[in-house]
Amino acid sequence: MDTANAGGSRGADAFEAIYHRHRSWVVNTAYRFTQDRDAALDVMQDVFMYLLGKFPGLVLTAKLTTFLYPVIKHTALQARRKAGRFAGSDEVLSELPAPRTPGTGAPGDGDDIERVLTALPAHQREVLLLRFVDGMTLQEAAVALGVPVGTVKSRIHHAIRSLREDPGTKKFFEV
Amino acid sequence: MPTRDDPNPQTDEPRLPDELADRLSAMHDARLFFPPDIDQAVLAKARARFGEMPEDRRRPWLRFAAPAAAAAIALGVWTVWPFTDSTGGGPALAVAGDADRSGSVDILDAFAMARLIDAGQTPPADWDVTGDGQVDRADVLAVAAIAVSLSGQADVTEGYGGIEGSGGASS
Repeated sequence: MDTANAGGSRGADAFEAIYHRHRSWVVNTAYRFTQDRDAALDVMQDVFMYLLGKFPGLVLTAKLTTFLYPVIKHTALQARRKAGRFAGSDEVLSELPAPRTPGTGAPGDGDDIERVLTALPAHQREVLLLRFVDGMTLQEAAVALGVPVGTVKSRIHHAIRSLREDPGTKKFFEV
Repeated sequence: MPTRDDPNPQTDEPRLPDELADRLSAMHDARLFFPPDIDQAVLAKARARFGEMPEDRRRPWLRFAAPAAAAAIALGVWTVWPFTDSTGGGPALAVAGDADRSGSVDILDAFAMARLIDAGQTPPADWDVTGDGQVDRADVLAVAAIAVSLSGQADVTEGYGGIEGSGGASS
């Protein structure tokens, strides 16, 4: 980050490294909100343009992913809203389906997990993905979402309880 | 129920079974193809942007060059000074354990002694803080013990492998 702040060709090289390291995560995260691959790619470009505009002088007090997450979310929701499919961010979140994977029809397969995830309240699903898919700590997820750590913990707790009780995913807890 | 290792087991963080966490990750780990034109567009804008930055922003290391040089000189002096002596006989310790002749015994003395001993060089004979006739790691430990003791004194005969001798006191 310091190198990128330096500007010039070294700064550009550093930015390129940041871009290649994080672009997949940015697109995957954007896709959670857009559910559209091309739209997610557009969001990715906008997010990196936003990041670019922060140089020089960007001082991170947390991980870059923590910094970028709210930017991705906001940009993706805006894109979704512009597409006219939904009116507000809450509605967007609640309508978001979980990403699809081929299922076998057996309990606990991809379809079941998808169904259970979709049934979760959006704020619970969001924090579950941040914690267990993106690998953020509770603190990082709290920063990314702009909520207290206790709120993150509570949301995860309720999400896991739902997963534990649902017939489609409870088998994972019975091992 | 196997779960992800918790780096801090003291926390009451909710946890997810490993297998379910893996399934979740797999569902969200899409292998994406990035069209080259998108990469090129983003990186071209980045190069243009970074190219516009003011010159003084481009070389922030220059701002630190002078302090860094001063620190390097100070470190060099600190490194060499304890091991050179105008008498040619090594530093004369006014205070037992004061290897760097700063006037007091601190952890830097132990560090300086350790570095010299580890380098295989012959340490000055008056670094023999333990009084066993040789200067070795026992003396380093003794000086470290003196440095961290609240009283400025340390019993070097205990806790350091039966080292005998008496610890010096700082002034």
